[in-house]
Amino acid sequence: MEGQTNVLETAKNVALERGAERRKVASEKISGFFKGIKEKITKTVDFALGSPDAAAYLGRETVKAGKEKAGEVRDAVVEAATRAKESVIDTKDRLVSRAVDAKNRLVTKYEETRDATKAKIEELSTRAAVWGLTNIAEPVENRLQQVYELPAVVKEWQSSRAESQAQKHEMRANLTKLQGEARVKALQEQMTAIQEATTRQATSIEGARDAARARSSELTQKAADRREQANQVFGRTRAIVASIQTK
Amino acid sequence: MDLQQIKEILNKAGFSAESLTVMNQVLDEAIEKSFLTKEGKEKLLGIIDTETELANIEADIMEQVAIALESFASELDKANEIAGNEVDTAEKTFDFDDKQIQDTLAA
Repeated sequence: MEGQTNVLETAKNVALERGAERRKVASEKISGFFKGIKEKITKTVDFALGSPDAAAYLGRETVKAGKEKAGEVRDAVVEAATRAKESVIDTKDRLVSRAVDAKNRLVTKYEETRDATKAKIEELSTRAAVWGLTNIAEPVENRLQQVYELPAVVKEWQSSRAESQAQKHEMRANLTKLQGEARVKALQEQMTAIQEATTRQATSIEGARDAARARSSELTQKAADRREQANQVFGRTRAIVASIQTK
Repeated sequence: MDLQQIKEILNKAGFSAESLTVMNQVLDEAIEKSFLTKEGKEKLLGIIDTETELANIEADIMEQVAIALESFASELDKANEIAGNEVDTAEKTFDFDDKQIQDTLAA
């Protein structure tokens, strides 16, 4: 039994470690991605601003054309960044949607298990009446109520509403209305908002996951203790009673 | 081992209050008579078996719920991993590079 507990403990640690690595993958990638886009935007904005100087340096008279071309480059990067931002919004929405589906499946599993257990206990309760036991179900059901309680963090976790198509169109329309520097600034603000919303969701999902894993570990240990009590302690007691000589 | 000692062992085993009440009644009668009847023994064994079955049901439930929670946690890990992969794809799609700047200067 002790060996099994150690294996479970090690397995739990492996799960926590690997989970933390995976978590880092998603949240760090999102942060790094936005950072990269922002750097590229800044770079092209600098390029657009300094383009007339570059044209002059090259000895061209077409300073105006150089400025216009640089403006086109800036618009191109802003457009690419807008699409990338929209893609991250979709990723965030899918992440939330998968987490919601997982929570719904968990709740369904809880309900199915609770119903199946109730039936088993009722059946055992009927059989136990032969031995003069009339109320074995209630204390067990009371104890199991706590087992069926979802961890608070999971229970309270509310997913943010997914950005609707209309909201996405509105964000894009707001950008389209703007030009040059103002558009760049608005895009960066939108990216910051999406990054924060994604981080908030990722953090709350991590909280729910960690709470679920901690509760799972706790229940696994309790189950092992209860089984040991049933099979070892009650088993020994049964052997003693079985050895009594009757008249 | 006499009946009083057996009673003490039963009372320390962790049976439910209701089971203990019935088992103590049986054993008190047996102690008073200095012997346990066949019916009394069957009752004690039946109660112990019921308690054992009940404890195993309880352990099964706790394990099932633990597995459901672990599965939920794994699904969240997987969702996170997929999100990370999608960000990778988005990063590759965001293919703007310095070449456009170079092209502009060269134009």
